[in-house]
Amino acid sequence: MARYGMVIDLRSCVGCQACSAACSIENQTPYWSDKWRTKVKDIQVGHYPNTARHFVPTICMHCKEPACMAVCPTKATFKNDEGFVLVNYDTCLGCKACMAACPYGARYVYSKEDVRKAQEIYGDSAQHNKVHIDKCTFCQDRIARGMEPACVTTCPTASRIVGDLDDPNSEVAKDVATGLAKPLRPDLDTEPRVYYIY
Amino acid sequence: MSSLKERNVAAKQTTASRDVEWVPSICNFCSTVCNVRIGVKEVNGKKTAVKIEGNPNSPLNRGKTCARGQAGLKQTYDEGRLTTPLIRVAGSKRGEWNFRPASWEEATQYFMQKMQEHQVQPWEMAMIGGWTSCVFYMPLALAFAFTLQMPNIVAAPMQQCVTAGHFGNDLVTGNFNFHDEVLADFENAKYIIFSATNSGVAAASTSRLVRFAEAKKRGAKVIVLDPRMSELAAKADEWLPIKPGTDSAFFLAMIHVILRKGLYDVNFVTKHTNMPFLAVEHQGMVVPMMENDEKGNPTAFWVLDQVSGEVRKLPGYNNTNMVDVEGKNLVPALEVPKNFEMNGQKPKTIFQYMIEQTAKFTPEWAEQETDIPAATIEKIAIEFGQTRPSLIDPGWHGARYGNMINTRRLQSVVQALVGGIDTTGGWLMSGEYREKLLHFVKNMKEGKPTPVLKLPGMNFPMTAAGKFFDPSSWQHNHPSFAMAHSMAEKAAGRPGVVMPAFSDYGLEEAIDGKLQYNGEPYRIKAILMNAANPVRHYYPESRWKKMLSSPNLGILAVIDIVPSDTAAYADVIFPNQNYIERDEPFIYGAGPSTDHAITTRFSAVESSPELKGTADILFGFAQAFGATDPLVQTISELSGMNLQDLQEQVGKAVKGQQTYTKALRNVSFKQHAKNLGMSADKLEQILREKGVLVVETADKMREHATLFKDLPVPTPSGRAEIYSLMLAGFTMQQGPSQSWNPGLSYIPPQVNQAKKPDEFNFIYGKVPTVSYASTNANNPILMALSKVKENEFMGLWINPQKATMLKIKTGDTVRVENLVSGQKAQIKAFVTEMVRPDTVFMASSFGTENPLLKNAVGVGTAVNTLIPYQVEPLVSAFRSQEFTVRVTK
Repeated sequence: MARYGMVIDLRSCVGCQACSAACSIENQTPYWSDKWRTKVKDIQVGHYPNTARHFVPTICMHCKEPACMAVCPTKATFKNDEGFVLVNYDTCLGCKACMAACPYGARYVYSKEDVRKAQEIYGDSAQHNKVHIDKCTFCQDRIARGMEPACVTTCPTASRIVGDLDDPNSEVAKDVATGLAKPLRPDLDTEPRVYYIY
Repeated sequence: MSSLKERNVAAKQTTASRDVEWVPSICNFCSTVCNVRIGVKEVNGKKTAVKIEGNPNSPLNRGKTCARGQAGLKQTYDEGRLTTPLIRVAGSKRGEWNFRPASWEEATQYFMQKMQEHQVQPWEMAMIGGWTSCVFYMPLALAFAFTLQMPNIVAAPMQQCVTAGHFGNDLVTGNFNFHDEVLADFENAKYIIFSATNSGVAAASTSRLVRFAEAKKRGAKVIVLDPRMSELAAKADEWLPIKPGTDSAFFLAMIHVILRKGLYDVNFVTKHTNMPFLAVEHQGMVVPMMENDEKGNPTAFWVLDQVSGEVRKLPGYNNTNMVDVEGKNLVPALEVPKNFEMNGQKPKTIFQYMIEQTAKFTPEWAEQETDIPAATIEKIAIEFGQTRPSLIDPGWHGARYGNMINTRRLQSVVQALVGGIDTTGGWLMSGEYREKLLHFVKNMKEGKPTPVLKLPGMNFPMTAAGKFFDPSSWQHNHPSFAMAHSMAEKAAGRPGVVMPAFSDYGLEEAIDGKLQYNGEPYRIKAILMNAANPVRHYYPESRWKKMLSSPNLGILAVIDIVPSDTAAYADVIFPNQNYIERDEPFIYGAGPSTDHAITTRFSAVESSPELKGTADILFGFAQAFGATDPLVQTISELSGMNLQDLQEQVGKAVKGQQTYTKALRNVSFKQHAKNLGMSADKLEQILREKGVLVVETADKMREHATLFKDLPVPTPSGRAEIYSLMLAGFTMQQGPSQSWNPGLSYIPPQVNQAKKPDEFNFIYGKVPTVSYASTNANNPILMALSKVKENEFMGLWINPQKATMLKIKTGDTVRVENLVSGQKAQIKAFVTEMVRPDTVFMASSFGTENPLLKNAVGVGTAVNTLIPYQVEPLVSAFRSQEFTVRVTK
C-alpha cells in the first residue's frame, strides 16, 4: 500500500489561498467562523528595504506518531490503513485534548453553531452533522478515488505535490531523499508526512 | 491495520466531489477566463453545483484554479441573487434599494416607455459593459450598438487596463485580442522583470501563475519593481522598491545601456524592427523616409544595404527587412556613415536617432528619478541583455500615471531589443491571434475583406473605435459623446483626448446637458448597464453617483447577477443567468492560450426560469426596438457568421421554439464544426467531454506562423516598431506631445515630490481574493479569506518610520485626504516594513455599500472614494495615482 506524503514548495507559493478555498468547499469546513483545515501564513520579516515575505501553507502533518492520537480519551482519533490521521466524528467527545497536544495547530472545533450552519448551507449533502474536533483527512476520500487532495489539485503554483514516499521514483520521495524537502520541527519526533521545501 | 469499524468510519467521510458529474465551463471571476469543470449532484432533490476544479485539458490554466475559481460556485446560491426583473417603486430615489418585482414583458415595456417619455434619440443612449461583456459578448454588444445606431459604448476595463496600458505594448508589437494580454513564456525564461503588476500574476491570474511557478522552481532570476512588497515582489530575487510612477525611467536607462553595450539581438533588430529605416529630422521630430497610400498607410521605406552599399526601397508592410520591393535580398545597416547623403538630405537610421535620444537617460539620471542605485540599474540591464531568453512581463493593469502607456511601450521596446517577441522564453502570442493573422494576411493577398471581429491585433480596436469616432459612420452623424467632448474641449483651447475609445470621457457633461455638438446639446438620456459596476470600478464614486442620480438621465437599465452598488441606481433591472447556469451563445478561443484552442460553457445547473442569458436579454431589447432582423444582419457582417443560418435559427427563437442563446450557439457550433471538418454533434460531444479542443498546438503553429519570421504584425509597417508610426501619425494630426512622442522619451509622474511629513504617494493594487471590475464582491468564502488577511488586504499600508512619527498603530482608524482633489476616506492602518516610507498602499475592490450584499457591505474602504477624475490626453486613461494624500490619526 502506498505511503502518501506531501511536499510543500515555499519557493513558488504566492499565498493566493486557493488551497484554503478548495479545501473548505470540498470538506465543508466552517469558513463562516474562520476555521480552516489548511491556511497560508503570511510572515513578514526585516526592516525596509531589507525585508522578506514568506507564504507558508499549514496543514495536518499526518504524523507517524501523532500526539493528538496519543491523548484522545475515546480513541476517536485513529490512523487508517494509508496512515492518514482521521477522527471518528461519532465517538469524538469534543474535549480538545488533541488540540492542545498537536504541535502544529492543525485542529479546531466544529461547533454546534457550525453544524447548524453547515446543514443550512449544504442540506442533505452536509458532511458534518455532529459537534467534533475537525482536521484534515488528506482528502482520503479523493485518494480512494484516484484523485489528489483538493488543495493539491488546485494549487496554481503546483507548490503542493503528493506521492508515495516509499516509491523511490516518486517526486516526493526524491525531494525527501535529497534533503531538499524537510519536515517542520523534526525535533518533536512526530515524523510528519508533510515536508517543506524552503 | 485499522479495524473494520475504523474503515467504515473512513468510508463514510466523503468529500463534496464524490459522485459528481463534471460539466465543462469557463470561470467568470476574472478575465483570465480559466477553463474549469463544475461538479454537480443532487442536493435536497435539486441538481446543485458543489465543487469546481480547473480543467486538466486546458492549455491555459492546466487543471488549476485560484481561490476565486474555487469559490465561484457560491455566486449561484448568493442570498442577494437577483431572481426576477425589478422596476423602481415610483417616488423612490436612485441609490435606494426600492424595487417591485415585474415580469420581463412589463420590465421591457417600462424601459421602452421611459425611452419614449424622454424622446431618447439613438445617439443619446450609451451601453456600459464590464469585461464579461467585452470578453464573451463582443459580437453581440457591437452589433447591438451598430444596429440601434448607438455610438456609445463605455467598456471596463479600457481606461483602467486595455487602452491605459496594454496599448503601449501593442504599439510596438501590433498585438490586440479580446484578451489582449500576452501570455509570456515564463517557464522557459531565465531572467524575468516585472513592473507595475501584481494582479496579472500573483494576485492571481492562474494561467500566468502556473507558468511563473515553473520559472521559480527552475531558478529563473526574478526582479520586481514595486513600491511595496506585493505577493509577486515577495517571490523576487531582487525587490526594487521603486519610487511610484518612475518605472519608465528604469526602462529608458536599460535601453541606454543595452544600446550602448551592444546587448541587443542584432539579428532581430536588423531584420524585424524599424531600427534600420532611414529617417530625417523635421521640425525637431524624427521622421522616417517613406511613401504612403491615400489612406496614410506606408507603402515604402528606405534602408542602406550593408552588402552593396546602396540605398534600397523596402515594402511598406512586411515582416522582414531582408528583401526589397524588387524581391532582391539585402542586409540593412543599423548605422549609416557620417557623411551619408540621400537626395540632398542627410538621413540617419532610426537606430542612430534612438542612440541620440537615449543619451541623457543614463543609469545615474534614472537613479535620481527612481531611487534605485545606478549600479543596480546598470547591472540589471547588462544581465538582462546578456541572458537569453530574458523577458519583461507585459503587465496587466495600466492607468495609475499619465506615463503608463509610455512605460508599457518602453518595456516592449526592451523586449524587442533582445529579440524576445514570439520566441521561446519571451512573449508568446496567443493561438487565436496567430490564427486571425494568418487569415487576414491570406485575405489581404487575395484582395478580400476581413470581417471586423476577425481582424487581428490592433486592426480590430482601431477599426471598431474608429467607427465610434467618425460621425459619418452613423445615420445621425454623431460621433461618440466621448469624441464629441474631446472636440468641444479642443475648440475651447483645452487638450481634449485623441482617442477616447470606449471611454467615460465627457459622460458627466453629456448627462448634465453641457456637451455641445454642432451647436446642439449632445445629451445622454439612457444607459444600459451590462455586467458593470462603475460606482465601484470607475473614478471617483461621487462622479458616478451624481451622474446616475441625475434627473436628466431618463432611464438606467441594469443587467446583472447580484445587486451591485451600481444596480442600486437602476430604474429597471434585468436578472442574468450566471456562468454556471448558462450555455454560451458562442464558441470562444481559449483566451490568451498559446495553443490555438476553442472552448465554451455548458449549463451545469438549471437557473430559475425568471433568469435569462445575455443574448436573450439583448435580443429582447432588439425586438422591442423592432430591430431583430437588422441585428441578425449586423452580427453576420461583423463576425462572418453565415447569415442564412442565423436567420433560420433566430427565426425559431422568435417563434419561441428555442432561446436566442441556443440559436446563436447552434450557428457557432455549425460554423466551427465546418472549419474543423467534423459534424456539429461531434464537436459538441468533444467539447462536452473535454471542455477545450486544441485545434493546433503552439509548437505546430510556430512552425509556420511565427510572428515576424513568417508573418507581418498589425503595426502600420508590419515590423516591431521601436519608433512608433502610429504615434507619429498622432503627432502629425495633433501636434507634438510627450504623450504621443513616437521616439523614446520620459514623462515624469505629476506628483508633488517635496512632501510634508504626513504627505504620501498613494498606490493601490489587487489582492488574490477579489475580482476586478465585476460584481462578485459578496462571495462568502472569498470574503472569509480576505478577512483572514484583514490587515494586508483591507488596511492602509504605512511604513513604521512614518507611522511612529504620526503615532499610528496597526488597527487605528486613520483619515486619508487627497491633497489634489480634497476627497477624504477613513481606513484602518496596517503598519508594515513592506512599503516605501514615502508611500501608502491600499487594495482595490473593497468598500461595497449595497446592503443586499450581506457579506461585503461595509467591509474595507473603496479606492474610488479617494481617486479623482483625472485622465491623460491620448486615450483618456485614468491617472489614478497621480496625487498625494495626507494621513492623520
